[in-house]
Amino acid sequence: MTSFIFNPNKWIISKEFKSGSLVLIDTTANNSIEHPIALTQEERSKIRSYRMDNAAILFSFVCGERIPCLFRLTATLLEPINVNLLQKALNRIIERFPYYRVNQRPGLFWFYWETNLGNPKVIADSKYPNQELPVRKKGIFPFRVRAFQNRIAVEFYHALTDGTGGLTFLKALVAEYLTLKGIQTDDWEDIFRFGQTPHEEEYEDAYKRYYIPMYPKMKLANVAFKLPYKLEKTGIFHIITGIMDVKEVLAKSKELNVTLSEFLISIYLESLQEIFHELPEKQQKKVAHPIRLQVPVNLRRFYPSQTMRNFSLFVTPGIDPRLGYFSFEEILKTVYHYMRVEVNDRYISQNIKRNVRGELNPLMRATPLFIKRIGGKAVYSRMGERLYSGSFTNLGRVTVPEAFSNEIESFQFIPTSSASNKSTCAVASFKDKLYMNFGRVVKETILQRKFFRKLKKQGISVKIETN
Amino acid sequence: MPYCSRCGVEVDFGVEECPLCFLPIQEDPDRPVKEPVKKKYPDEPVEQPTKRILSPKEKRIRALEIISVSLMIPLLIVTFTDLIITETISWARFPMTTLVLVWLLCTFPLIFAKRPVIVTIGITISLIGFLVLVDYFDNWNIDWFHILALPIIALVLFLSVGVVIASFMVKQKGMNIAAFILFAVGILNLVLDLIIRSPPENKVNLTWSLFVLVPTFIVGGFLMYMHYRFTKDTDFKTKIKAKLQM
Repeated sequence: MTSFIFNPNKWIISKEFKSGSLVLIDTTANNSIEHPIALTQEERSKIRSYRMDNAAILFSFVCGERIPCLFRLTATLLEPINVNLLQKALNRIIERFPYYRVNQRPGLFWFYWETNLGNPKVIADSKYPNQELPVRKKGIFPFRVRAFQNRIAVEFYHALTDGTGGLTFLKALVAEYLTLKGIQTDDWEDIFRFGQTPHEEEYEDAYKRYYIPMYPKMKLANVAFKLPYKLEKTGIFHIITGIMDVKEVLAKSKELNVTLSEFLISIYLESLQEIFHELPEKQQKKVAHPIRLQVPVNLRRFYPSQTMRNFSLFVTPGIDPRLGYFSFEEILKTVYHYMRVEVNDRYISQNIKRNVRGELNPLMRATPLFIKRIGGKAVYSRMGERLYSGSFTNLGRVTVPEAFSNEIESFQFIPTSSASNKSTCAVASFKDKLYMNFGRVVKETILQRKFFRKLKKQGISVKIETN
Repeated sequence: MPYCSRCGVEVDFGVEECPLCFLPIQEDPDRPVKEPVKKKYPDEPVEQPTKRILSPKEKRIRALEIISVSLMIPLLIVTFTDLIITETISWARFPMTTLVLVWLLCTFPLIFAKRPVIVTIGITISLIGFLVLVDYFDNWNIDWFHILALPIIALVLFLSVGVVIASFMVKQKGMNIAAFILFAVGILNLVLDLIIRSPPENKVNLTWSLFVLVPTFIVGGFLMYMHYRFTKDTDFKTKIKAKLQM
């Protein structure tokens, strides 16, 4: 039997929605209303536990107020969202994603996922996205579905999945919602549907599957240049969205003989380089390190896997400003050749080896969780945060069947906030528009200003939106 | 569509300033109807309840409460154990007195956080009281307190106050403070040796304390020399660099 606890002080009634439906919003738990306290034998038999994948382990150690480890995917429809219908769609579609219907639990040596028998609830959106999700609390889902005007947003805890897994979920949710609204289609393309049985491979830790133990370990890069700005208060996450015509950007990239990502990465690096060279000499000396970007690569492109959990790694294109000022053409050339060499299955396997090796180390495995958590942040900083000056992630072109596409205005991707990099960037395109979201935890907009002015100089029209 | 004349980027109708450079956006005079800005995000900044931040005083009171309750547990355990076994308070007097001393040593700094004089006096009185009680509980007689405990407490207090006053009096603080502490440690050991080993015939007989006194005074003297020889010289670093041709 399932019991529910109701605390009237904890709830507010949202008047946000114009659809006429009021919704109860849990202001503390974020996404879960039902907390089962007494389980029947049948419910108990449904509970399954999963080991975390290699990337998830690191995220589970470090997530907190400053490093919420959340990324956000949104779909803006042409009509206002009916929250009751969206809730119904969520209740149905979550059945198709049992590996997301979980709660993070602490084990003796690692955190693990355990089936969450509650129901995720649609909640109102907030001014600042990607605020901390109390994932370590019992009953909390590692994602939250939010609604605002015409927009459905899902914020994912990065330990749960990566951008590809997140997008699959969002597309399935939007498709289910539109189906409930009466939109019909015969061709569902790659969209997951209610009633399908999940493939066993969707649960897998693909890092371990493609781990090659005999590969030599990879050398860690040294510390990178960081933006020298003061952090905003915890919880504040400014978003600047640049909306461009995807054809214009593609045409410019083609003209320069590079891909769209390489073109945008080069502009990003050039903007960071300008910031570095504009610093006073004394300050410049203190932060004189290579400028490097963290660029995630979807490993499903290289290794066949249907996993819906994390399966991405990073490459790090960059320049060294200590060697003098790089012209845009030089940066473009550096990025182009770097990507050709590094985005290769051998080097990626070496990268997988480096990450998985630590997890499989007997000493590491025998260390109790509380000790691992103490060292987790240091490892995260050493192996990740300190090595990059910013991050750039491109989800690529989002496609949905035409019947649904006619009801959708945009798909957007908002990156995870980073107190170390201060500014991060995520790109996604839908139909003929390219949506570039810069998230930042500092007041200064210098980087974004330089970036979009440079794009404008390249002849690309940009429309700016912000929170 | 309105745009920023400095950045060249377009913005929505109704947006007052450029989100990139904050330059005011020129309104289109030909546009008769003013449209309200279409919000992209709600105004509520943080949906999570904010944590209540305690003031330093509240933090200290909370700490005192936790310490008091934590000390109460062993106090009750030893008291009742002694009562059950011996049907009276016998050996439990010693741990009980120690626990009360620990409580006092924590209480004074927590309650009088910004009054160092009161804290020092309070701690000293607590220590004296503790030693008197321990001496008395031993054989219901005060025998070693006035010979050993009181002179040692007086000495530690005197030396501590001396170091603090000397540290306040010097203009330039640095290695000289470390030297004062070393001198005090040397003197403390010397007098301790005298107090502990004071022979009946009042003959001065120094033994181990000399092994502490000599190194502390040599190192202390070296620190004083370094401090007063070089810290006045602000160009010391530059001179060394010049000498080494760095």
